[in-house]
Amino acid sequence: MSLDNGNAPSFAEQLTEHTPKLRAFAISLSGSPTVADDLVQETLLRAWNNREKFEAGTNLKAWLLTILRNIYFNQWRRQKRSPLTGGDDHLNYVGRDAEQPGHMELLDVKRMLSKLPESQREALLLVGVEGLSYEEAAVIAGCAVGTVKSRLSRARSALLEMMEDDTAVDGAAPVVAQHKQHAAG
Amino acid sequence: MPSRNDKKDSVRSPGDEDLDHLPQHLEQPLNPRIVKGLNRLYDDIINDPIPDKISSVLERLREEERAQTSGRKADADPDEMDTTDANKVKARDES
Repeated sequence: MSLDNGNAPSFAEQLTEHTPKLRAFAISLSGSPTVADDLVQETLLRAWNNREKFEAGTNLKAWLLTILRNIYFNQWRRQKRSPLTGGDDHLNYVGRDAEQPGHMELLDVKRMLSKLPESQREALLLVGVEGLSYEEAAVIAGCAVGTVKSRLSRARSALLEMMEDDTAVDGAAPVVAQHKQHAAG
Repeated sequence: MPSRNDKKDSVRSPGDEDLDHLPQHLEQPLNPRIVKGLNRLYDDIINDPIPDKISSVLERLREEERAQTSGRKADADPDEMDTTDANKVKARDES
C-alpha cells in the first residue's frame, strides 16, 4: 500500500481514525475493556506490520475487524476458555456518563449481549451495529453467508426472549409483543 | 487481505447451519430497543478518550511512517537535501 498518496490520509492516520470503533467492537465482543485494549493494540501492530498486504481502496475497517476477531478467537482457543471469563471487569464497562438517562438500558443490553454465544454476538455486532452486509460479515467471520444469517437469526430470537422475560418481571411496556405481532403480520 | 478465504478461524456453534435461503420472516430488522441500546453502547465507547497504551502505539506508528516517508523522499531526490546539512558540508570544505 502506498503510504504517500498526495493529500489522502496516511496508513497510520487511517488506523487512528478507525481506532475508536475498533475499540467499541472489541469491548462489545469481549465484554472486557482490559481484554479489548490488548486486542486493539495487537490489531494495530499486526495491521502495521502487514500494511503492504492491504489493498488500497478496499475496506480498511473490514480488514481491521478481521484481524481483531481472529486474534480474539485464536486466543480464546489457545486458552481453552473465553477471555470473558478471565477478567475481573467483565461487562463492567459503563462508559463516561453512567449517571445519564438510558444507563439502565445500556446495562440491559450489555447483560443480554453477555448471554449470547460469542459467534452470535459477533454476527449481531457486525451486521446490527457495524452495518456490514451479510456477505462482508461472512468474510470477516470466515464462514458462509448463510451461517451469518443463521447466527443473527438465533441472536435476534434469544434477545427477544430475554426482553420478554424482562417484560414479564418488570411489567414494562410490551415492546416484544408488539414486535412479534409486527413480525407475524 | 488475511483470512479473506480462510475458514479455519470460523467458530461454529452447536446448531449453526448455513441458511443461504433464510425464510423471509427470519430476516426481520432487529428490535429498535436493542438497536438503540447497542448504538448507545458504541457511542459511549467511541466518545471515551483512547487509553494511553493505545495512543502511544498510534503515535509510534505515525512517527515511524513520517520517518519512512521523509527517508524515501531523500532517497528519491538527493538534490533536495536539507540546506542546513549542505551548508555544513560547504563550510567544512571551505575550511
